[in-house]
Amino acid sequence: MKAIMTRRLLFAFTLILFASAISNAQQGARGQEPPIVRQDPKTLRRDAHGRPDLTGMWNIQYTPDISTAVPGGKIPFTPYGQQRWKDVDTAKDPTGFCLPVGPSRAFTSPFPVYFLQTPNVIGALFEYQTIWRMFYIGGKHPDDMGAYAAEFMGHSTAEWQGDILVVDTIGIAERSWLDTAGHEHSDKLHLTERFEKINDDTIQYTVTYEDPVFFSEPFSITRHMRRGAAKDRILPYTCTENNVDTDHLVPSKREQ
Amino acid sequence: MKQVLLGFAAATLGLFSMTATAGHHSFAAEYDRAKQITLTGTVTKVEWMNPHVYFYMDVKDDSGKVTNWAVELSNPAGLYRRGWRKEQLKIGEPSTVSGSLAKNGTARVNASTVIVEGKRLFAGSSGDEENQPK
Repeated sequence: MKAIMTRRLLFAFTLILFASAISNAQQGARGQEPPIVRQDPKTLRRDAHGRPDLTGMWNIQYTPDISTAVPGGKIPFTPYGQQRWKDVDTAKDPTGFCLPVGPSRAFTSPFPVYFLQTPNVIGALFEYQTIWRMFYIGGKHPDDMGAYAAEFMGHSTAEWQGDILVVDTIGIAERSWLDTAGHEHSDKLHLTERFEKINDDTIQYTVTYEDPVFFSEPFSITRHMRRGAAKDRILPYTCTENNVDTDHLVPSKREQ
Repeated sequence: MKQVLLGFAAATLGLFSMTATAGHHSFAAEYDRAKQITLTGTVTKVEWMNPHVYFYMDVKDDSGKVTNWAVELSNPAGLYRRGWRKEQLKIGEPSTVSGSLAKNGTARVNASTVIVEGKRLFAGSSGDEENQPK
């Protein structure tokens, strides 16, 4: 009896050690980031037209599974969307084959972005896959989206709502994924993204996903981008240079 | 295999990294986090290229048979920003690697830790505990 109790105590102690180690590791990772403090908007760095200036290098908050950032932790799938999520084969991740990352996943991947801001268009130049997006201020979506070829990054119009840049994106090829975990979408995907400078070194990024084929209602996640180091720059990413992984992928369910 | 160490420490590493995934391709489609391995060998080749840095090393087992293992790391920019320089991986030098085995049974490992010249370097790959999503 005493031996059983000792073993149980040892087991419990081991579990506590594990939990403590994991908690410390997670706190350590988060602890590297300073707290986000809202700056007086009047003091924000602005462009010549008085808009908050987004220009510069920004580090993105890596979010390999967007469901972890959804309030409540659950994505509102349609039955079809739920089945696709259950069946997804992670060996078919399009980025594994060097296909474009998709518009919102580009803002949740572990690579920096450089914003170039002008009055009529804002460019987002992504290090990941050396790809870009253009936000056309006051622009209109073309009538022939998809007529030319699949547009993995979609087409984006934008407007300033006060100090918040609101970007509207459609025409996204259904072959892109929303994250590394394997959340898929249809060609009906409609993204609304909001970029707000909380302070001169932080952009709050909120993306709302609408897709009646995969999701029963719109849902959103909010992430933060931190200004990159002054000496940092967008570095080369040539995906096909040595993409030997494709020879070793095996059909797999996502990690639980 | 003399250099293979499986056990509690490796399982702990696996727990630390269980939520991490690769930026470029799905970790689960190529590696098995439940199969941890530690290898010590001699660096034979370095491919400091995108989308992932690879290096190769000869590892001798108990019978004396030498196998050339492929070790997958992060992308060059990610490693560079963490202080890696490609010159740190020298052909002919010893290295010790811990990480996840390939699912397809080939001699490939996704590194969680890399030790060269007695110093632990950030692997930057999916399995590295420092590469946790934030």
